[in-house]
Amino acid sequence: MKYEDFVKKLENLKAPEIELPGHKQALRMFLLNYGRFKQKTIMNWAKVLAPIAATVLLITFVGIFVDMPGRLYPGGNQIGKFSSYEQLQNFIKTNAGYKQFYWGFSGGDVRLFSGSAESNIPVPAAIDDSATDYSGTNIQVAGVDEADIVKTDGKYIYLVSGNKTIIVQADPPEQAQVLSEIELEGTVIGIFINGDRLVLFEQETPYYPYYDVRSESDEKIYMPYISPKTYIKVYDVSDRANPRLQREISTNGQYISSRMIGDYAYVVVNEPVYEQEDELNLPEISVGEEEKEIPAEDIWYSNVSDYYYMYTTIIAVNTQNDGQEPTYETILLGASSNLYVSTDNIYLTFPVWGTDVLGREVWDSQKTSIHRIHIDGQTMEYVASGEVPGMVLNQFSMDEYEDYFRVATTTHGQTTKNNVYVLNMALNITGSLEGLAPGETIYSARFMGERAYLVTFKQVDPLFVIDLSDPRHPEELGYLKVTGYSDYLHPYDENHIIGVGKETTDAGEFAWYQGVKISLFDVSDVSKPVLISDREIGDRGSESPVLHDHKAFLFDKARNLLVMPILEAKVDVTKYSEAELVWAYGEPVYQGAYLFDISIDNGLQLRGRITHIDDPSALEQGYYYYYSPFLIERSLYIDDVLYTISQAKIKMNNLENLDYINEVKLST
Amino acid sequence: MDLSEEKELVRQAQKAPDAFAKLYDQYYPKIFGYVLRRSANLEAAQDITSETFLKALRKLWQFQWRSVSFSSWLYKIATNEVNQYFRKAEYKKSVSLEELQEQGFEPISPHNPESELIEAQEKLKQHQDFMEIQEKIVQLPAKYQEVIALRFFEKKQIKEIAEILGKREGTIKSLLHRAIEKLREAE
Repeated sequence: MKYEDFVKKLENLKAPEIELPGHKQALRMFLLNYGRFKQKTIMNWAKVLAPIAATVLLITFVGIFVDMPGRLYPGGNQIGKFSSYEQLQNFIKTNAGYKQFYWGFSGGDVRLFSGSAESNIPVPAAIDDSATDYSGTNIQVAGVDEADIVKTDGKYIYLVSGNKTIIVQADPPEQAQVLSEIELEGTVIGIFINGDRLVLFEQETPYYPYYDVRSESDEKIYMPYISPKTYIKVYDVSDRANPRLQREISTNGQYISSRMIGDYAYVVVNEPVYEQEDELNLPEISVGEEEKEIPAEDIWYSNVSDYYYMYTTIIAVNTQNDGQEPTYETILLGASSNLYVSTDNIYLTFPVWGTDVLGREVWDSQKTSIHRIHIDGQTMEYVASGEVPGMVLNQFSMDEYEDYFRVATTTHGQTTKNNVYVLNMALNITGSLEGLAPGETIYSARFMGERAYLVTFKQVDPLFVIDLSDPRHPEELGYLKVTGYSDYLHPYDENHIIGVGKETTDAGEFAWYQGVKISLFDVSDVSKPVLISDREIGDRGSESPVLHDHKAFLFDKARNLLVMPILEAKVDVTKYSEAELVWAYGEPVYQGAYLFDISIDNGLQLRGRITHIDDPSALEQGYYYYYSPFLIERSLYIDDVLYTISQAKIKMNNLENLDYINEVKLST
Repeated sequence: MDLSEEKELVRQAQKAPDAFAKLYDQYYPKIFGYVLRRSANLEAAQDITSETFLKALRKLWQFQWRSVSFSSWLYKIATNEVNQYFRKAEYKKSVSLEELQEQGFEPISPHNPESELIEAQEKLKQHQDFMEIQEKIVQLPAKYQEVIALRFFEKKQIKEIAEILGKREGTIKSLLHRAIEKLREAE
């Protein structure tokens, strides 16, 4: 063929015009959400895009909306296990209305799927197992440890900084040094230390779409769902310089919370139920290389109604004996929102949203569904389910005492009301006290034996004392009204209680939050609680992690010691008029651990404070405070040394006079 | 989309990744088509296209209008990716459908990747003339493959090819001439 003819042939050649709409759509979604993916240098595109492609084009999904309680339950019982996969499928399909596609995309919030979780990132309770005396994580229930970002065993400090878990020789402070680092790809949510075993909970950064992607035709495209993975990693740290990974257990789903009782770590994970092409997903557990799908026959169901179903799986892992297989219990529930764990039981709660005749959500009929799982070492059993009116604030709103479960709730509606319920172990209500502080909302609660303390708030802070000695007749004993409120209540002793919250200024219909406030109440005369001492730190704009996370709180009665991280803000009074001063936000002037002497006789006295921010010019840049790695997050003591911990370093000071001893830089 | 609109979009996309969507919608068919016509392999074309757009997204902040147009820039990335694909055997291997299935990928109907692929595969087979010559083109060195594909299948002007490949127009002309000669010899 001549050159010219050949060129003509090429020019006239009909080249294929082929499109792959599925790939186009999947890649588009991937790219738009790229920032949310784990950044890997080499992509296995087939793997990355396959689940997206599969989900994108699936229009029926979950939407699950169970608005009629008692509609259909297998066997008619409240609690049971499914007899087959078909039954599970049938149960979901019958109960679910497919009315609504419900992925609650709430901005950049990582916890998408529920009013979810105890968002608290959890350090150990004071256990004096050696000659040294050291502080543990501030926990709710004695003997039930809560995972945190910092733990100590009195000799070493284990802490999470970025995606590293760092082991630091802490004692003696003069020789403090980093011994080893464990670097993981995912986010370490919390850790436990138990003898020579370090337990890490890692959450693989999941794919969370957050853009509202619309196609050209403006038809809404449903977001794909890729389940995040939660890993439980147990390390042998007998050689602190060389931690060795002993076991790895993983499961699909979002880490909700964990506890450690004795040798056992219990982890609660949520995974939504979704359907693809008529097939429902089932939870999966991997132990080492072995992957196992939890069969429908092992899954419990209960009489629940929620927008959507979730598999709540509790995994029990023996932290000391690697030969013992982990055990698990899976319950088909709604989105667990709170969890309380005693030494014998795990209580899961989630809100039950009421609906009106049109299926619209209404506040009035809101209830909380409660589920009890009995635990004893590796044995777990789902034993009871019940319901109370109102909504549970957090784990401190719940308690178990002498075979009764007590819970404080707030009922929203035209007028909010607050209630306390006592339930037996079958989770039937035996006694209730309803309608406390109409118009107010519970800000904090604490149960102490036969009493409960409740702080409700709207403009002022009433502290209620409730008698629970008779489980059938909870009774209001008295209350105290003071300004401000408490977000966290901590027992000082049986007749005194510490409150941590904010000062407020009454503004008629509402109140302006002011500085961080610490109060000490005397409740020995239950009918007349008395404020014996209080301290306000900073002005409006001051903050403390304790207000959201009790694990940041360090208290030791024997040492008269209270330590908490505070960001102190000050208002420049020359900038504002008198009227403006109540609402003016202060500029951050200090962040660090504030140490107080606390006693009944002398009340609260500031002993001193410690900061990790050495450069005073940084103080002028307000934003610095909120993102700085030098923000102190936790504090602990070993003997007479106070250790303050930020992402950037551990600083050691003498506990009595706060003299500087040493510091260890953490490579973040 | 005219050039000024595209410029504006690129500027936006450099700041807010969601503006990238419009650019993507505009160019996906072109880039996918180009890559497929060069590789004649549907699976590979998906991966290379994915890689191309991901690289584009990641490197968008580096992109500057004055050197090349956005379109040429995309073709340039795609061209590099295709060449890399031909260099690396494993590139091909990692995306076979069989392997996909071994990995537990179960395509679903009706609009799923597998049925989509099967359908596309059928269409591709119908282009017998193209496939015959394509087989020969891929035997040529990459520098010849590029110019032939861009000139005859993508219908690009010499000026544009020069921009994509980062070579002078004269170089493109002589490359093209030699490429056609080589291919004709192979016929």
